[in-house]
Amino acid sequence: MAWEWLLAAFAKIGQKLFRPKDQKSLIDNSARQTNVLSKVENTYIIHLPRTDEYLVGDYRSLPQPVVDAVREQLESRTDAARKRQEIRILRHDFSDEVTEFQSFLEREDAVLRRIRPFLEPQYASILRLADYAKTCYDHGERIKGDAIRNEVGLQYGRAGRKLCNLYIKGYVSDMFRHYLEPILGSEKDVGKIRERINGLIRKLILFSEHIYFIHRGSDVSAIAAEIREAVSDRAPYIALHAAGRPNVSRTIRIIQEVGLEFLDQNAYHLQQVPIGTGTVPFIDVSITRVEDTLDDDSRVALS
Amino acid sequence: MATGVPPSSEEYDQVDWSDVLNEKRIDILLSRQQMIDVLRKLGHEIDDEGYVLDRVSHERIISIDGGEIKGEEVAAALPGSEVLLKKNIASFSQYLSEHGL
Repeated sequence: MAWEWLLAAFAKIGQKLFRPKDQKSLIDNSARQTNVLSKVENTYIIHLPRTDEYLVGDYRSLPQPVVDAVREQLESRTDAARKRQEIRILRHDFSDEVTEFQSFLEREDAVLRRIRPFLEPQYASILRLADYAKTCYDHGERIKGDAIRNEVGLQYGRAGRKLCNLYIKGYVSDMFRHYLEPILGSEKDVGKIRERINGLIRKLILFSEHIYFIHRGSDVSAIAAEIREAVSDRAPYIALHAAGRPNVSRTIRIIQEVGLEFLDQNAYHLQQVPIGTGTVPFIDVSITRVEDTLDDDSRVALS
Repeated sequence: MATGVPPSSEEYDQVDWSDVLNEKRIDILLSRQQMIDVLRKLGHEIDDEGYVLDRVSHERIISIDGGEIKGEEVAAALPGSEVLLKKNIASFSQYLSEHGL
């Protein structure tokens, strides 16, 4: 649409806004190129997310009450002001990106949506971005997916980038679908759920290569062989997590195939934590080097 | 600069700000220079090196990505305690998570 008439009109309208007619919704979920609208000098755009309408106004007449309302929100250290109204100021060249991301979040992965309230904010943010990047890759938008991963790295460093990559590779999804989701259904203590989920993510970032979430597709012999190899390579931490009776049985069979004697011979310590507070049985098994489990006094005594 | 004939009322409606202010959420989209102007209108000073200063402490504001932020880098001013973002979707995502959105 041509916006050339705007400036001539502004002198007449003062603090009024234009609402161009025929604003059709974008059914392909793409964002509007709002920076095109910004080409006319001294204009600004109001986006109303509820109706997805765009209004155009004269920047020289931005009403003082609006500036005051924005100031009040910026000063607010609570969410009270936002609960009344949310006014965001965005640069033209960022608003499409923001709109697109928020539109994506409305369709985000169902399991992630369910688990997100229990996550620490940085993990919630990284996993949302990872899901966003993964969706881009799934749709063949490789450059965009790479750009999102790069931004995760800049914002959250190496650990963030690793968690993002683990999500894209499916590790996190395994953890959610085969282990955490059944637990969520049976555990009522929110504090315990939070502690468990965030603790698992921390471990996953540190030791992802040897953390297994056992499910019906898990190959018992293949995993047992991988664990034996990890022990031979002196891996610092190996863990198995399973929820539900059949998966708990699979986990026990894996341990049997690895062999407790083999772990002993290689100076590895196995710790099994069955937890039965909920209706779904689950099991956590960690396998660590004996030298890593010794306290400082024992190290001195042995040296 | 664009010039031309004002549109006919068949092409647009006129809307009062009072109508818009009834909306629960409003996004105001500005150019880079307008953003700097608005920051000043909101009471932020910009120091000699271009960094945005906190209105109370007059210290450089720390953006959500953990670094100081120049006026020309501000891509979003969001509700909350002095939340200024650079043009980085990861920062926006962190903002949403911190505010339970």
